[in-house]
Amino acid sequence: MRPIKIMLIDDNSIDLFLHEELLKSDKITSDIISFSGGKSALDFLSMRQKSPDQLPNLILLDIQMPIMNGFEFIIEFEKLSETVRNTCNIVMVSSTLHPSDLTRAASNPSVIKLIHKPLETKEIIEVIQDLGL
Amino acid sequence: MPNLNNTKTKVLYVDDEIHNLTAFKALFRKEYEVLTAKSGDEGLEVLKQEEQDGPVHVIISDQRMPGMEGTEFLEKVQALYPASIRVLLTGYTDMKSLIDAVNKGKIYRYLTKPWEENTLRNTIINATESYNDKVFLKEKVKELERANEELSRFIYSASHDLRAPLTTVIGLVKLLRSDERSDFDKKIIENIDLSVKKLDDFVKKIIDYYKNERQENVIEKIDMNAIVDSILNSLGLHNSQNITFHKNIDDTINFYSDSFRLYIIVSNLISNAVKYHNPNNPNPSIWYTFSADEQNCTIEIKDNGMGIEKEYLDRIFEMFFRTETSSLLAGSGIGLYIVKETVSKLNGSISVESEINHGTTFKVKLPLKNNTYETNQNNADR
Repeated sequence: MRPIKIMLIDDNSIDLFLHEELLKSDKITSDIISFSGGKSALDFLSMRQKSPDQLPNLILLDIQMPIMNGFEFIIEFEKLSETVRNTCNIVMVSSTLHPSDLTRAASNPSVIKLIHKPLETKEIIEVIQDLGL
Repeated sequence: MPNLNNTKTKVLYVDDEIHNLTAFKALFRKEYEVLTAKSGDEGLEVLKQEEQDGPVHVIISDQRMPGMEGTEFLEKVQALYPASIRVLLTGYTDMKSLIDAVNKGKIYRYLTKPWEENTLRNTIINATESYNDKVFLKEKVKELERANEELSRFIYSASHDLRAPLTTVIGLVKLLRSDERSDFDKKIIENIDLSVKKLDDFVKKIIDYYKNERQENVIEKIDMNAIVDSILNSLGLHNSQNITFHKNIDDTINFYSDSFRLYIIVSNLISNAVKYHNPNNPNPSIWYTFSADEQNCTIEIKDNGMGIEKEYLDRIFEMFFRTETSSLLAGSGIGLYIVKETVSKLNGSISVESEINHGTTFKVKLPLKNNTYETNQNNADR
């Protein structure tokens, strides 16, 4: 079983800090990479398309971000290699309760789950277990 | 009488008797732009040609004509040029066709033959006014729809902007909690948490209220299981009291409604049931039942929680009404008000039964063939 590598994508730097600390303090993993925008995250992934060991196996993706929102990120993500798409599991994270966001995330095949902020490590653990990581 | 574009009123008069057409034109050609036709077919031709030059405000037609009768002509006109005001000229013996016209052609008014100049003029003036009023109304409705659209967009961004920092604070407070601290620190943190959660709750509810007030119903097929699951999912986080949730959803009959409004109703009622569970009860539970028949669907949410005092039962749906208990538990007093408003937007009804220390049952009944949906459709067609 691979060690868990998590990628955080969120335009809010405080939330990035918060989520990093949560994951570390609840001993989920300390191998965390953070990006404040979709583009830089995509660059990171596309440079490692053939190296599954360097790819995160879980991506926590914020929905509402300026320039490129979560859904737009997924569109670009789906253009990456099969290795990337199979290795990286996307969980969407949202602070809104807007129904269209909820249904959009639910119907998107690349999205494993949608969780609401504030993040609960319980839910992350559940997702990790469900994925068999 | 000036029209909205300050153009002359355009009137089409259809009659098979030529001297009527000539007389009409002679009388009114100074005041109005008069068009004439000897038959229904010719009338339709004229209307087609006039289309580029602006609308024909009033269309007057004789009933008794060879070929196409007046009522038939006006019925065709209504389909092609619904904005024009239609007037029928009938003789005393034409009662049957008059009734026909009222039902089918949906005429504005009928006049009896032989027509009299002043009556005719008055009719044209009133008809023109009616035409202009309708155009004005249509424009205002469009403006209103645009404003609504803007408001919806504002609500969406306000919702995110308001809640985002709140959820961050809630998360940070949780982090603070996980360390070893003095009792004093713990107490402070606990209170920060409560206050922020109260704020978050309130913000969510205000947004719900705005959305309910402004938006039209969007009717779609309802997946009750999905709605309940997503509510439990978002609530489960704040629920560390291990409440058992019993779901009994019968979705054999398809139910159509506004899913967002349903979400508001169900989530408020379930979260109340969670909030007011009885901490002394070893087995706190909530039972959720959904069933539908040909006429209605019924949603029942029952809990074995704290219950509500009898004397307050008829006040719980009031805006900002709180009891001592709900105040202590940081209730905002707006949740049930919103539920009631939302239920009425769906033309449904809500009732409550409760006994102190035993529990509460809320019952929501919603019409299946949603009346709101049909009313909206009728308004759109008119």
